Amino acid sequence: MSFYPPQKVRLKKDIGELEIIWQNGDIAKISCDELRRYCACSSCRSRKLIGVRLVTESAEIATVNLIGSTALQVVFADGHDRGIFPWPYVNAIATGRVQEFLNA
Amino acid sequence: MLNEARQSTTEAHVLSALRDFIFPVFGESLIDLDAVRRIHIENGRVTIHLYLAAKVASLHGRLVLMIQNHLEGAGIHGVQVVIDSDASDEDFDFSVADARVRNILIVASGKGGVGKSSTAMNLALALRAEGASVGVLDADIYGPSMRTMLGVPESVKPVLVNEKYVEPIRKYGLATMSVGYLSPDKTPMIWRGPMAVKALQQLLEQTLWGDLDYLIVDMPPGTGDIHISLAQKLQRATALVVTTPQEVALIDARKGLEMFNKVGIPVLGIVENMATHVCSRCGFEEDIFGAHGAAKMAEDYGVAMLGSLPLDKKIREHLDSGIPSVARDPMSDISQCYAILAQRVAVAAWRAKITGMQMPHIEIA
Ligand SMILES: Nc1ncnc2c1ncn2[C@@H]1O[C@H](COP(=O)(O)OP(=O)(O)O)[C@@H](O)[C@H]1O
Ligand SMILES: [Mg+2]
Ligand SMILES: [Zn+2]
Repeated sequence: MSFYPPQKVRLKKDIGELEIIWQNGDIAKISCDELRRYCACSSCRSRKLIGVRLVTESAEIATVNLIGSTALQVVFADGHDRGIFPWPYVNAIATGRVQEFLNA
Repeated sequence: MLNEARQSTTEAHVLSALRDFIFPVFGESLIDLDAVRRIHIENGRVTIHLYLAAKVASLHGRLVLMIQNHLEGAGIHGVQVVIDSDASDEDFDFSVADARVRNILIVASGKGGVGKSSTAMNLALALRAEGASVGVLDADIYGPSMRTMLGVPESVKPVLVNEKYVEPIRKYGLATMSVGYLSPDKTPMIWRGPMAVKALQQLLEQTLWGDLDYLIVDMPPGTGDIHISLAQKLQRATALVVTTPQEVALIDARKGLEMFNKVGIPVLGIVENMATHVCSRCGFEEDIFGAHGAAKMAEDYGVAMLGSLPLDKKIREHLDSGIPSVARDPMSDISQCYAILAQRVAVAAWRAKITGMQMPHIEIA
């Protein structure tokens, strides 16, 4: 049985957290701040590369959508919706392996 | 005594014994795969009717043997197993005109020359050898190679039907269509952007494919806009990414994986081509590009490593002569590698249909 996609994705707006229940039952919790910080869309990545701060400090998430069964689209409350998070990337964020993942 | 034991066998008994039986190639129990369609018990004789949504005929004998052994271990003797894999009632990935295609498999690579077409063609033949009806669409507008690989002479052109449809060219039991069949000479057509997408869509939709278990689409190399639009037209497809273990090819393959993630097409896995060099004189094996790159990438992206094909000059010679290795000698060692790949691909496509139906549940609070 493959690890992806997860069984369940729960967006808890009140505490600003995304909870993922993986196929094997493991539960991962990721704060919305982290999702904003690690948004891997081209504009966020290039801003980080040249050292420009993100457009906004707000990490509030309006909603999340499935992109097929392979990824999650995160729509931030400020309208930024270009971040597509493939499940392995979500897992990398949850387990603190983002740099490893992006550099691999 | 024996009679008594037989009488007491119930459907629940058989099902619970099957629950912890896993056929290695399937990787999951027959119950989880929804493969057990009926259990018939008459006078203590058990008959299990299986439905496999994958064409893997060469494995049927071993599957039956392993089920029988497993059930004997649970005290259930003399079991008959009937296998059906013709999914007349299943839904299709693609049905237009007379085409009814159960599985579309996109074969992609980040860059050219990694062996995408060679792999697509031998994989198609290996699936054919597993009892599947198979079509191949050569959609590589930059370098169509099907005519050469199949030895179809320039004089042979697809036949037009009702001025709108074309008959695929049939060779080695495959239904094939290529952008190269239509172009008047060897120079590749210069197609750009929307025109290329339109042309490829026509080729897909206006070919009289008929009933196919698998339609393999040999994509142009790369991950540009053409690929994304094309992938979006094939929403129900699944994809394979071919790569060589070289650093550059791996980076390109990674882009391929990301592209399919973006358009929501499940990637069944990665196929590593030209992996190991086996010296034809001494049989010495060495990994010419360094080991395990593709395996590592598969792990990072949570996709399977579906196979590793040897670098073997015979693969090239056979293709250049117009008779791919699997068609020339289905019993050779090389053909064995493709057979294993075909079985894994067929099973992965089957499993993707099942997990694809189990989309994650989203809760927003
Ligand atoms: N496993 C292999 N061993 C040896 N030669 C191969 C192998 N796979 C492909 N080739 C050869 O490499 C060349 C490129 O392969 P091809 O399938 O045309 O690549 P692509 O479609 O990715 O551009 C061809 O000449 C082909 O015959
Ligand atoms: Mg090619
Ligand atoms: Zn972003």
